[in-house]
Amino acid sequence: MRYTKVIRNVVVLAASVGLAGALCSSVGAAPRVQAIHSSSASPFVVASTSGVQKLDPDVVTNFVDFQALGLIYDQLVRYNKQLQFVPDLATSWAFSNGNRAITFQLRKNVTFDDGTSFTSANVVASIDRVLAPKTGDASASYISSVKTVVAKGPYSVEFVLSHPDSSILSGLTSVNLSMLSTKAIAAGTLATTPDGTGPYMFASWSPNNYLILTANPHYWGGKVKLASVKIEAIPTEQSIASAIEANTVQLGLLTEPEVAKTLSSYTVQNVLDLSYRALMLQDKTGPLANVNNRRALECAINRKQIVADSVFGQGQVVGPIPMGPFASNPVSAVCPNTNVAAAKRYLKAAGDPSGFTFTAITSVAIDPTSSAQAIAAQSELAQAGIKMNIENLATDAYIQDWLKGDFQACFAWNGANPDPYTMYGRYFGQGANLGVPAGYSSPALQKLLLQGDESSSASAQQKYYSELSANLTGNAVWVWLFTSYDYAVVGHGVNGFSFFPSLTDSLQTLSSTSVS
Amino acid sequence: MSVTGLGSAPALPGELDAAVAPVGRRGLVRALWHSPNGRVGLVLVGVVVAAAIAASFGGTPYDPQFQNAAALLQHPTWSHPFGTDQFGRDVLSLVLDGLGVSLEIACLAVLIAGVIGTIGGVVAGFLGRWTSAVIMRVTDMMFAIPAILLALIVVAALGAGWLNSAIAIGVGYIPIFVRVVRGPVLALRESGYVSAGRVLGFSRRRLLFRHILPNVSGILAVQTSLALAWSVLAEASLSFLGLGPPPPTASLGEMVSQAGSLAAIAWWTLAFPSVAIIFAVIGFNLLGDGLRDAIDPRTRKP
Amino acid sequence: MTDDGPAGAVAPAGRRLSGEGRARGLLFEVARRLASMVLTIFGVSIIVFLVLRLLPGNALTSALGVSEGLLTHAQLVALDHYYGIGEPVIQQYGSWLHAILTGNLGVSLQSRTSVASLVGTALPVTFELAIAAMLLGLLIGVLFGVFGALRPGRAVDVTGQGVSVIGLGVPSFVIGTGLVTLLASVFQYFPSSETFASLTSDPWLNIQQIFFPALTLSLGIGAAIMRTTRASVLEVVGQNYVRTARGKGLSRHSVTWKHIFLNAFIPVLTMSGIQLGYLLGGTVIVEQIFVLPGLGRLLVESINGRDFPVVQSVTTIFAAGFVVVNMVVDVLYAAIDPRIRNR
Repeated sequence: MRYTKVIRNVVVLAASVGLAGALCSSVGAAPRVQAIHSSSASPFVVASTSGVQKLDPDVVTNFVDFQALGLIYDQLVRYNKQLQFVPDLATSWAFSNGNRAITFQLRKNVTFDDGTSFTSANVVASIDRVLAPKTGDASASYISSVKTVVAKGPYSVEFVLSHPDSSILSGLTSVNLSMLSTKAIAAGTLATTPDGTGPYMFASWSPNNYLILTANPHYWGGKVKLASVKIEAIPTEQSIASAIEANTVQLGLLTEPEVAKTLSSYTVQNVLDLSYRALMLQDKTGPLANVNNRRALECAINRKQIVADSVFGQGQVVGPIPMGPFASNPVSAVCPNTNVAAAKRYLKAAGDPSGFTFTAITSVAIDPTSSAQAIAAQSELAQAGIKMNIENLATDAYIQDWLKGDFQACFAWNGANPDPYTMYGRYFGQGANLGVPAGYSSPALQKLLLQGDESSSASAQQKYYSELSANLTGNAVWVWLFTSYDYAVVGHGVNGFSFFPSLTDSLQTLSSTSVS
Repeated sequence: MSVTGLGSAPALPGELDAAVAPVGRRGLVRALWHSPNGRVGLVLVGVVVAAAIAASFGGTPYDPQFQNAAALLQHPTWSHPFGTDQFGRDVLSLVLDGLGVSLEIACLAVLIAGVIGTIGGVVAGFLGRWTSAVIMRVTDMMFAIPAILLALIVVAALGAGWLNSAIAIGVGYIPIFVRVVRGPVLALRESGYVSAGRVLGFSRRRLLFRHILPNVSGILAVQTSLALAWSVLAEASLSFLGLGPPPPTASLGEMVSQAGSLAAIAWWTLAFPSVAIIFAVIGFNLLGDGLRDAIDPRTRKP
Repeated sequence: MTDDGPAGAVAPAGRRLSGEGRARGLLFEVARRLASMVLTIFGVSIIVFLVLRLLPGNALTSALGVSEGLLTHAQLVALDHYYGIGEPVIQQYGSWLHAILTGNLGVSLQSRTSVASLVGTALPVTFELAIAAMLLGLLIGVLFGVFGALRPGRAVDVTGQGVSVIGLGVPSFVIGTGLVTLLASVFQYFPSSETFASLTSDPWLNIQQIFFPALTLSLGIGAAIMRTTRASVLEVVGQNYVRTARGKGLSRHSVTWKHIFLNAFIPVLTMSGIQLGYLLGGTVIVEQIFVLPGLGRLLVESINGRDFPVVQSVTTIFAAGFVVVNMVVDVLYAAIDPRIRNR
């Protein structure tokens, strides 16, 4: 019958028209998509590959969680771009009693999102919550020296310490030590409804997907120009780059340098990530127990080449203290640059000029660059006659071995901090709870750490901490390698954003950012 | 994970008839050559396998891992026909090496799936109702869990590595082999063929090895070829999710997933490994089609 | 597709059932299948439960990594208790089962929100994606398959074979990433980077966001369906009864439509059921690239975070979906295939 032919032709025609129409309108839709985002009612979108996983500031560990909650919550002190302490909710502070006590003067006229006022009672309650075991705050160790917190008045509070400890200031900048509302603590709602004093307030949350914040009209720091901010998870960095080009994301947070490279027409800000890569060594048994063997290791390694090979050249060679006022300079007391001849001399001094063999563990799941680092190191060490075997472990196996110190060498990626005592007290201090993975201890190191921590004068600290750096590298306790960059790609028309090199405060300039 | 479930269809009636009449070995290759699909498949697979074998004996133009710092991200030239990657490694050598790795993983995966699946399928088809019911029930459950989830869990449990990738992929394919093999075995058992054999006094073992297995071999060959294709793709997907073998073992899937971020400035890092994957996958698929045509008595020339 | 043998329920040959007997038989059949479904889903939940417990690491190590070393003993004890680490396995399964049967799917260990709400937001997304991919795949597969077979070697057939090569041979994440990069860098167009809009709240944005990932997935499905369709259409066109029908004087076109479609449909149907199962897995990759907040993404993140309550529930849902689809396909199969119907 003829009509079947007609039906068939109609169906084919309709299908092709539909397909063509979809294609055309998708192109035509582009202006519409852009139009929406030039209006001020739409949120300012910040994209990262990870979503916000938790809302309780005391227990967050994920980088994005830190950045996001850092916009909702304030702390007693914070870091500026040069990693110096500046007032946040504490307007000034003073050490007393031989640095065994710190008294903070608190900011007035600050209110929480729930309407309650910020007073010294909040400081006491917040610190108590951090120290309570059932909160499970891993950063409680930062304030382990705190004996009691006493309110000296509505806007003055005193921390009484068990020993002189200037590092607690660094700990107090962390979002894990945010100032919380007593009302929210009592109601037990902090895990689902954030309640802070920061420039933005919580609006809604889809776990691992997006977090929407609105401007805080009562923010003590001044008028917030962006009406709302959305922190969105876009799982792959290529997709984030595409979203920036499509103008649906205003700020992209990236870690892969080759992706950042493809966005040449945009401003890409980079800061040093708050971490460092190091080859941690266990110095108790085996060839690495001999300090000269370790020094040979340090001299044979070519840090610049490792940076080139593993992060595309996008990193900075660092010493034990990677950033901040006490950054290690030179990066090593033994061999700041690669020196195979020196390595061979140390091998001879160790007693076996032909070199030695050892095994290093990596975990590509935890640090995707660790394998490239290891491969580069392997060939460099071979030139001095040192044979390094590489063993890649699954995440959990790596963590278990790390915690038990069950390795000879280990390509690690550790968190960094401008305060050296915070960084190394836990590894090399007295009663260090990470003393086992640290694999080395000496009274001299303990003394230097303590001296640095106990003094509050910057020049004294400078002296102790540079000696600390020299001691760590002189004894080749570990081999410090490099720190990589984090990138913030700024969309067109965004003004006033400056990426900060701090965990909690990296996005703090969003409080004064605007879009033209 | 691509959704090629081609070979996973249960035995269609035509295949059953084919299974009952086995093909001689010389006739098989000739039959393959006659079928247009089979011909192309044979050629592609031949090229791919030859390249992989050559690579595993060191027959690549450069050492795949050699990093030439002076030639980073170079576009294809005479000295580097496929260009170089961000570490200065020759992409052609990497692709050849990667073919070897991907095929190794695929072969191991299919071996695992094939052996366990065939045993399961034969047992399910041959033995009594209860054994059969239990095996099919377990198979149904394995089917119901998405293959990628199985793979994720296996790799999470065992850690990343080429052996574990192979196990993860193989485990996902077992239920398909069980189903595919069970069909013909069941049909054979139901047909007079087996009962006649029992009446004649043949032992079960003799029936199994001399009569049933040869009849199933045709279907098995088809399924193996399709499984190899699927495994190459599955391995690529696992690498994309970060669960593939860690460097320096560079499988094709690993190369393709790394190249995603470079593709905009260096198309050759994505294009050539992708083409290699296509050759392997299409080749095995067509080979499977050709085998299917070859064992089907209707398409065989007299 | 059931475990009863290749062509469907094996009934004793040569016995015709009466009308009433057939209805009773059908009811029994449905009940049997339902029971079989429940058993399968139950079995899946046990397997997943056990396997998850065998995974090294737990939610605690996943969240803290090496920082776990910083916790004091008191903190560790409190957190172990919260995460349920150290409880005997049977007890854990028992409490999970009890909770499920009372409708409580549990609470996510990572985000501390209820699993039901997480799944509630994610499921419609994946469901919509799966349906769209299936429809597009069927459309591509059937159109190219049928018309390619009717005019073998011509333009339509060649295009179809080309699409088939891409769909079969190229991994879906390559197609997906390529599509995203192309659209974004050339057209500045990336609808998926905006918050996912549900079909009811913003249908146009929703369609744009679903279309491209569905297209990516549909190429693989379409390729498979295309080849089966093409093969069975070619087969049917050559069969005797078509020649007989044409001999009877029916025009070429009515033969094309009625006979080919009906008979080609059966293997396509069988194929579709299997494809949907693979589809549920395929969404995992595509949801990552196209930023869809669906079950696939939820699953990957939960496995990595050892968030057992979520993995348990999501896997059970996947299994249930697969099993239900299979049953529907079986029923349709039995209804359509004249050989089974007329038994």
